[in-house]
Amino acid sequence: TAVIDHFHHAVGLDAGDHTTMLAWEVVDAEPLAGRRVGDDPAPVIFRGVGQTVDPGNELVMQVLSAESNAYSAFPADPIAAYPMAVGRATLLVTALQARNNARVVFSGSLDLFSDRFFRAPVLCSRCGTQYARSGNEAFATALGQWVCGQRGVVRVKSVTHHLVGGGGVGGGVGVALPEAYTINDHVHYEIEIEELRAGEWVPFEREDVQLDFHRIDPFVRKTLERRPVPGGGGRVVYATEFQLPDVIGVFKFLVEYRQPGFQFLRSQLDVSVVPYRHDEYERFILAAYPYYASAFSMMGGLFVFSFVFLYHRESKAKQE
Amino acid sequence: MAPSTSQQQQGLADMVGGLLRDYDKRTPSRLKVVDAYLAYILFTGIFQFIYCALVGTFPFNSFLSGFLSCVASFILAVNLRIQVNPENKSQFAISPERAFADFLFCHVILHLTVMNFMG
Repeated sequence: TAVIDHFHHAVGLDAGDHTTMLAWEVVDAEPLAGRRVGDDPAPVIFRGVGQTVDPGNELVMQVLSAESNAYSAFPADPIAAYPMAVGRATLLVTALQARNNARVVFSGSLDLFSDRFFRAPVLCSRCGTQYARSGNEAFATALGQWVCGQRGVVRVKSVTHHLVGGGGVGGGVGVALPEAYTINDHVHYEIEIEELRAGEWVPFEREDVQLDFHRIDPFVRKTLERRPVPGGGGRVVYATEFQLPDVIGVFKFLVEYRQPGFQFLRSQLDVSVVPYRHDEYERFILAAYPYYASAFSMMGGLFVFSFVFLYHRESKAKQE
Repeated sequence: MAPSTSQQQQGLADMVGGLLRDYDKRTPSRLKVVDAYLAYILFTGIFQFIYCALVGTFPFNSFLSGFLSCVASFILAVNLRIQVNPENKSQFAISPERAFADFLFCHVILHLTVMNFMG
């Protein structure tokens, strides 16, 4: 079978059966495709077999999809049954990133990677648009770099957390990480993430890294801010400050970054949150001041009464 | 013939007035001092209870400590009054001074406990 598109085939390259088709639908993942949504790139010329994918599969990415007029069938035969793949569900190139960050790309066309297609100008049959050069070379380069582990590779460089203002049980700024905090503490957390670009580890640039303060469920979830390290020479950290919940237990600072095209990133630090010590409560409670006053007034009244009682003389009228 | 309402009210007023006059004449002034002290403790206790009813029972241990210090002081003072009253001389073999010494000793223990429980 081949993928056939009667409306978007490449005039000049096609042999007449409209299997040399054009595709614009590239996945919205910059590491994978080399471009972002909103660019106006040239289409990719494709001649080959279509694919379908289980929609329940979380790890597969649909890198290149056919236009809505495409379908998958034997070019020489009349169509006897409903095609396996129709329209945008006809996938041309798919990619899989396993949970251990291993990457596989399935491409239905070898010609996609050929020099001839790289250099060919594009004329779309029905839509009439023209491009001086196809988008194959940029697409294939990005895809090849992605699958070989040169793009979309990230790592955690360092993680720290401490009380705002320094300190913490068992640690502090510049020392080992604290092992325990008290409830309602204000803590600061920062993580440094790096990305591999052109063989060099550079600071990560995305804005949507989130932190979970997690104990079975996340009690706090914050988007980390990108902040330059003062005096750090271009280094950038993702940091935030927040208040611990009024709950005791063993929590984890959890950063999980799972975006299409990037490696799965996970950083977990466990920390205990302990209740107030007996001397961390307020010493005198405002609502109890009348009770304090009454207890002391009882003692004062006793003192005065003793004097009066002991030194009392019966009045003269009684002494007869 | 049953007395009318105004006659009943008049009778009640007479009774109370008579009670007060009799109290004034018949009780030694020493006991009146104790009675005044008792009235003071009673007023303090009532005030605390009303405050707790209005504001709520937080912190409960402080309320209990303050209120029970009033109650216990009241009880100790009542006991002192009984033991010091000359009319009860036949029932007790102890002197008023010994009664007062017991009273003070119990108060020491009471206030220690109250301060401990107050928090």
